[in-house]
Amino acid sequence: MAQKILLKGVKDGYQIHLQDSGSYDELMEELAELIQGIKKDSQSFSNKHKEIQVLVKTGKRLFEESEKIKIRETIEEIPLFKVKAITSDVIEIEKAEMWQKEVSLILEIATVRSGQIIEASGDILLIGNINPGGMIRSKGNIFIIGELQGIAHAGFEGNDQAVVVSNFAHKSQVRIADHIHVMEENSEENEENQSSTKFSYKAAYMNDLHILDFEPVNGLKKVRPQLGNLSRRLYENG
Amino acid sequence: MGKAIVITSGKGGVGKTTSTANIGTALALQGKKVCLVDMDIGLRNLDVVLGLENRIIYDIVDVVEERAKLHQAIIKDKRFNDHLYLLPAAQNADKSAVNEQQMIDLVGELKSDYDYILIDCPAGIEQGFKNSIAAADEAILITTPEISAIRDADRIIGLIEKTDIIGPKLIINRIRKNMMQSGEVMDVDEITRHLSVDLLGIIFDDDNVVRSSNQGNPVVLNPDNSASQAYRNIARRILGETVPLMSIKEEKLSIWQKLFGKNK
Repeated sequence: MAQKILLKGVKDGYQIHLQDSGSYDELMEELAELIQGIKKDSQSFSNKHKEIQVLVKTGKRLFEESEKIKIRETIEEIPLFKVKAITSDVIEIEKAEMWQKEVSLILEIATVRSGQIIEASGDILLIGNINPGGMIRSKGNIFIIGELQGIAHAGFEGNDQAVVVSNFAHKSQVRIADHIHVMEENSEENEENQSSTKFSYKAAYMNDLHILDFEPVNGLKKVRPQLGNLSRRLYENG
Repeated sequence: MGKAIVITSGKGGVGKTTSTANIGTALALQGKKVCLVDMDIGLRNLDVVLGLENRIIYDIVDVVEERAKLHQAIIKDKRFNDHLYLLPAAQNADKSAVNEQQMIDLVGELKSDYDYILIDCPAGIEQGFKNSIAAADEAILITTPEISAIRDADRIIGLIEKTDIIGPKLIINRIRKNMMQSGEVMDVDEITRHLSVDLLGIIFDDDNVVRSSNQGNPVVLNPDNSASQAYRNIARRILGETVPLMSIKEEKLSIWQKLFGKNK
């Protein structure tokens, strides 16, 4: 019988690789055997040893939550072993789709009229106007090519790192996470815009003092370096 | 098979009923068979504007509740050789007396007999509005250059876009040339761009509209009036003709015209 379980020593502890072939019962049997073996050998270890981190890798297999608990319990029968995480090379489609939604940019071409709400769980690019009384809302960032005269609410579930990019040329309202900023027609933010012949795009963001601030788009990379870096954000999400 | 067009605005008092009467009359003058349906149940006015108030025997609620046949409730306007008809609203009921399905059935029945069915929508976005748009194929949106009317129009467009109705067309009513020229109100271009819909026509503010409505004669019957001309143009555009917009510029009279009167 081919070995279904592989124990590997790494720098900061152990890794247990569970092969993704064979049944769960067989696997658990073998795991129990392995643990019992180690347990016997480790009798000699004294309690002076500090905790050993164990990472369980399940290959291309996904376990139910109850099965994961069982695996964890089996391994932690050895008092020194502490299961750091149970990871897999694959994820569920549902979760993948959720991730994809959260990290991908949604394109919306529309006029958001009074009383309408456009909502997205990830970043959204709107090409079109937001009329007074209309609202665009996203858990992530909002980019608007068009006139913002209604409400733009970025990071609405509390992500205060979110930004709103638009030409803030009209009376409107910008919200980031739980912070609300009312834009007046001749406010400071767009004063210089009005003096120049064309409106320039700006990014509204929450600065270090937790105050809503405006930055010309060429400075956006400075205040939000992670923006637009998909792989990095995927990692953060994972 | 006729076409059902709802005439709506959201805000009250911008000229829905007056426009319904005048566009309907203008279409009738163009030889189309038109039925006007007053949906403002409880606050009916369309019959008054057309001067048909005293001829109502049955109304739309009587038809829906089967106390009368549809043809019994419809009033013929004798001025237009069998071209203009009115289905009046009830005055002693409210908007919930009719539901959306009944409206669809009713208008479906009318479509086989008429070229155009114009539905005069009540103000607001409640049941009366829902009933009015339920059966419509197209929509005409009335606004004035006032910001409150424009805001409501925007809301209405949003609601209409959710239905199967073909994109609403805009009429800007009660334009005061001097205010628009001096930039005190949004101009025609700005309003159209802001609402991003097609423009069907513009109508200048004119005392004669009220004057003739009060006499029960739609202003469109008077061919010399600018509002009348605007409504006639709108009717022609509905029929598919290309008619240029009227100029907003106040015509400047030369000193000779001032001296000798305006004789053009």
